[in-house]
Amino acid sequence: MGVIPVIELRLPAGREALRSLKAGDEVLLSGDVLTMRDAALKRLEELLAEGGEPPFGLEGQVVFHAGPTPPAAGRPAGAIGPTTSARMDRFLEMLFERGVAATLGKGPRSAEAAAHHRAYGAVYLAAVGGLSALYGGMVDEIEPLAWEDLGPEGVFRVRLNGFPALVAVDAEGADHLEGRHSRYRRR
Amino acid sequence: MRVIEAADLADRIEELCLEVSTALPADVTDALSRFRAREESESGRRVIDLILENARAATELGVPLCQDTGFFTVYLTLAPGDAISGDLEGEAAGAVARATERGRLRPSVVRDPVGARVNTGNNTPPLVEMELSRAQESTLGVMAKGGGSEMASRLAMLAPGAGWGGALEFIVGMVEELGARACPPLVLGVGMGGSFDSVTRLAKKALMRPLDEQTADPAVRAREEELVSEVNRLGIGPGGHGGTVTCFGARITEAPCHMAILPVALSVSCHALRRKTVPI
Repeated sequence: MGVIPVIELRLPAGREALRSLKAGDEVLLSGDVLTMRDAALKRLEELLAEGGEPPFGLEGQVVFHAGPTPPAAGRPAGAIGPTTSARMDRFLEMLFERGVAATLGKGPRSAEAAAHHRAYGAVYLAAVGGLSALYGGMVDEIEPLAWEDLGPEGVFRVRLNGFPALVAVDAEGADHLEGRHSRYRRR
Repeated sequence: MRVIEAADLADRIEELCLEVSTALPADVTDALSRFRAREESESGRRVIDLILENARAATELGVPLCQDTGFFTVYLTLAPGDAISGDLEGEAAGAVARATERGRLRPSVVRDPVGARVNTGNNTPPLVEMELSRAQESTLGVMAKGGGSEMASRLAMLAPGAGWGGALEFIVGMVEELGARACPPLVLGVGMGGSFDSVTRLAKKALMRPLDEQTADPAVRAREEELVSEVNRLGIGPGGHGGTVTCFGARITEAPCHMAILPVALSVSCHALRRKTVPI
């Protein structure tokens, strides 16, 4: 893995810029992403169903499935990191319809999710769960954007600085993690 | 008889909450280091290195190990001759709220679970588990458990004929289906026997037992070893990025049960197994 060159990405970057990424590529993310997890996605779904519009744009954005801790140790989040993305697969098509270019999270996605990535040409970037004290040092700024009543589940603009991730599902729908599991499977 | 005042436990609960949030216990880091040697995948070894580095950074900076600072369980185990007086639930809730504020923990608890799911803002209420024991001394324990690993925990009411083979199949099957989402490498807490309600408590409390404490019953010890070995054949690996270390410990607690049933519960812990028990 160490010999694979790391691709540095400036965010936000639209789908076209991410289309050349291949499942298994290692990336370093810098720039702005939006946090959205369970509660914010549910609220977005309800809002859109009523014909409303969210108070932030999603076109070309990377949605980070995360809920940070409060500021600590002189940094914007003491700890921040990805939460399980598969839990939010039911909201994926809604995000892609609004122009979201990628999600950033952790863990495997469903087969249905892979199909959505292929259909919309979007990618899924996976980080490792539970490295959040380290990841907290790779965030320059956190600004609440909307729905602050949701607490850590609100929408935050997070400015990343060299945040490492893996392309787990690419724009063709190829799933990297699935292949990795079969490679080490001994049953 | 010794009467323990609940109010006298409050400060200790608060300190335990703060400690487990920022420091990975030594038995956990030792086990991770030991299993690193068994990891065949280079990226898997790198993930284990990062987990250990993360633990050092969290302790050094005084920041939480994980942004999911978890749902707190407070365990009070009373030895013969000890009794508790006062409002333990209230004292525990106060301690958790103060730890959340002092430790800059994420408020992760919501009320009205299928309604508005409003965040309580301070991680209250914690779960308070009190039990009687015949042990020499009373103990106080705290566990912080993340939502990702709790979501991968399951209960099965098996038929007695299923035996250990059926229990093993159930547990390994669950890890295969859900383990990659639960921040592997995992520690598995297993309860077998008891009843529908008690077996899940056995499974979760099994995670409180140190990983370096040898299980007294050789048959149970053999089952723990077999479970770790079978789960590590799944290929999920550290971080779910593929590898031969999906699990770095299993703790099984068994209890007598009705002759018609075989309850089996799996309580999954992520690699950040955050818990500590102290004598009181």
